[in-house]
Amino acid sequence: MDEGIRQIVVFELGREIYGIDIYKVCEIITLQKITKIPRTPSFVEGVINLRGKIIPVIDLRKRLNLFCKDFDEETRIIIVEVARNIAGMVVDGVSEVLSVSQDEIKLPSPLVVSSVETEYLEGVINLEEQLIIMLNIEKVLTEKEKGSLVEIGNEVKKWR
Amino acid sequence: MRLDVEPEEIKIFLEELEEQIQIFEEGLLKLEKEPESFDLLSEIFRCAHTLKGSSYSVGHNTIAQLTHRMEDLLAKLRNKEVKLTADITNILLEGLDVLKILKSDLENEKEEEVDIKPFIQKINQICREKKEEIPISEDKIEKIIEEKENPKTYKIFVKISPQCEGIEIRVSQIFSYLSEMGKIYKSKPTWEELENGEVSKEVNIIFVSEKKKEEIEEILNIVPEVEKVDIELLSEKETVKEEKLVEGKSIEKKEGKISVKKVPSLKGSVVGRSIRIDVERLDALMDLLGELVIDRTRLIQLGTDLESKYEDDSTVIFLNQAFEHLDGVSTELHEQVMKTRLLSIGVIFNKFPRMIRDLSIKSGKKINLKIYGEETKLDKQIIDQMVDPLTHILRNAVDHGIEEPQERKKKGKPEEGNIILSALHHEDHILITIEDDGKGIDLDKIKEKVVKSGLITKDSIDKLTDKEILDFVFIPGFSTKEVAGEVSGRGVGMDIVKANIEKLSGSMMVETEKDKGTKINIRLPLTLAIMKSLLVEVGENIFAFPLFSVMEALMTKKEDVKTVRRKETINLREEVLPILNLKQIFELEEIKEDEEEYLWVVVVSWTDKKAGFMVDSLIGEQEIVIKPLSPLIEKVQGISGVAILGSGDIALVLDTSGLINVVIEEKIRKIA
Repeated sequence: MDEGIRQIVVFELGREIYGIDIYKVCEIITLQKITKIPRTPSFVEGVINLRGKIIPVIDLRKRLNLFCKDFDEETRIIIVEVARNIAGMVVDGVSEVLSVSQDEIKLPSPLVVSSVETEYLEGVINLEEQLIIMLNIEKVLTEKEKGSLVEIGNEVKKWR
Repeated sequence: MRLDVEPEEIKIFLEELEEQIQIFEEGLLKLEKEPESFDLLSEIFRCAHTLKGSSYSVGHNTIAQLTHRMEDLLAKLRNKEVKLTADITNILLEGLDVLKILKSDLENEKEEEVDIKPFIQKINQICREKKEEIPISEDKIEKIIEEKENPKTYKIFVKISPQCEGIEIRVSQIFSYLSEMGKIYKSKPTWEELENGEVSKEVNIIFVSEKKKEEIEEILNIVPEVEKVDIELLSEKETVKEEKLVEGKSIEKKEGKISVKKVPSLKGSVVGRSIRIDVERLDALMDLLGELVIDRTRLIQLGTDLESKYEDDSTVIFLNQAFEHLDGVSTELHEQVMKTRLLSIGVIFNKFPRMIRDLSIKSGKKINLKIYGEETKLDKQIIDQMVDPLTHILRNAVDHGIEEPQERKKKGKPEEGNIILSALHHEDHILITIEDDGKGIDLDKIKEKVVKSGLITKDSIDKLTDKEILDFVFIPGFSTKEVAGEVSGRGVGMDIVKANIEKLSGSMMVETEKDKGTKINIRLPLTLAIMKSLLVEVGENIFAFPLFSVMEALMTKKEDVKTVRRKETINLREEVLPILNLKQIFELEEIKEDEEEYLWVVVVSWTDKKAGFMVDSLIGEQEIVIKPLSPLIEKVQGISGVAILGSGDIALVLDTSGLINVVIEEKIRKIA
């Protein structure tokens, strides 16, 4: 693989276009039965059974406070691996895998208008008419939010 | 200290260190109480001896020197040259402590080392005090032959039977037995040749020992498949002439004494009855077994479905028979693998005599610790997690339970306080109790603290029962402030102990009586990973109750639910049973007010409390594999994990004591 070329999975969220590095993506599946876990933040949809593995699923739109349309045939769950944890993210639709060169990814300037807070952004790609927003998925999945905690790592060790 | 051997050998050495230190310490503490016991003394002598040998063979000269000195002292005890006094016990315990430090330094690969000179001096002094002992120079780390009475040098020839298949094993056995009786100078085959498998049926050895020829002969003849043993006495105290036997190691002469670079220690080469297994391998086995359990359940379900579809099809019938057999086999497999993970709780119990001994000396109190049920077996995971809670509880018993001898005398109690630690197996769980005959928990002090901290007003406090007052001890942050003595934990309160126990799906209960004592009961499930459960439906969710905490499930009329003191209850055979609503606890959506007249209640018990949980319907009993919720999701109180059912659905596994806590906290919030 060429240095400086990144492969991005492009998906839709709340009327905007987002991207995430392909190496972070394990697979993309259609919606399946999600078991809700009580007393979890609203963006935590629940868990799914993926071939015997329990995977938590969060609704990325709710997490980022974006517009939430109802689930439909386009809705997908992207399974990602982040810091040795696996999680699923509900998105409005997955369109393609794009190859972009490293320098096409620019840091978000204050002029970039996006509904998403800049701390969750890794960069933006200006491609023809499209603006693709690169998400910092680690931050999205693990950041402590005021009033609700999402912690990594030690929980598993404690449990065992 | 850097050792020049394979990491695998270091690992084995460390394991042996751990084991022998444990046996030594236990034996020594027992010996303290039975100083005449020759068996105990021999046992600890063997420990020192074994460690001496293996530390020499891996080249850890510091540990070798240390254990060597301890062995000398023990030899003196054995020969009755000295008597077992408190001083001697203490110096040996101190030696074990230094050994533990050296061991942990080795584990952590620390270069610098603890200076053992002061200890060596101490022990030398004690040795010297009794009889003249030739002081072994401390800076010379080379192994030298002990100045024993009459070392004899033998030339030994052993012939192994031609039918023998495992010659290497026999040769190592021969070496092993000889090493226990003296020193092997030279041998053909050499140690390296033996390791490389270059052995023949003839073994030649130059051997130094005090033992008589007949003794050596006798021992060697014990080795199976030995055909002939020839022993020739070379000389007494003569330096060994260069025999034409070997192109082996060179023997150096140092100041008239003979030193050998390496002494083979062959412990462990004799085929034993047990194998050491890495815990990771067992964990991997357990995981696979978990998967198997899920698949089996699924298959059986499918088989049943097929049967109802194709009733008389013979293939389906055969299929179901096969599944039945699979069911039996996997259940057995499950049990067997479970057993491999089971360890005796004695593994952690045996650390406590030493701890109590030290604590009682430090606090000036006289304490007798009795332990029962060390053979009770528990899953290794659970045992690991119980070390801290038990340690804390025992420390509390010493610190706040047992009174000082004077005080006890005044109360008419024997000066020596008793702490009883016991474990027993009861159906599908384990009961651990810690009981002391001390002064009990001061309920008034607790009441005072609670009122002071503003949690509850003085009037409300008097309305609470004793048991409810005791519950306050478990509220986070409660016990830590006042009682952080040096002996008990700093900031590790009873709340954390309770939380740790509940994390294991266990429960804890405290009974106390003023001046009589305190008893703490801990209930733990046998295993965590795979569990029998009762599945229920509540709204859209499926929940699983750990079966061992379920007493019964019953149906009751809605109108029979009465409200007593703002709590919903029903009458259960003359008992008033509080009822809790899972839908409320978990803030689940209410699916339309039920028109049902009846509702299901699952009666659950933990410690001595009982409660009923309202559910929509029962699904049935099932063995489930509990998996943790992802670390990305914060822990939900009341849920201990999730399980994948045979149907593919996900059930939420309930943590009954956690659930109760949710309710208690709500209760307190409402009162305050």
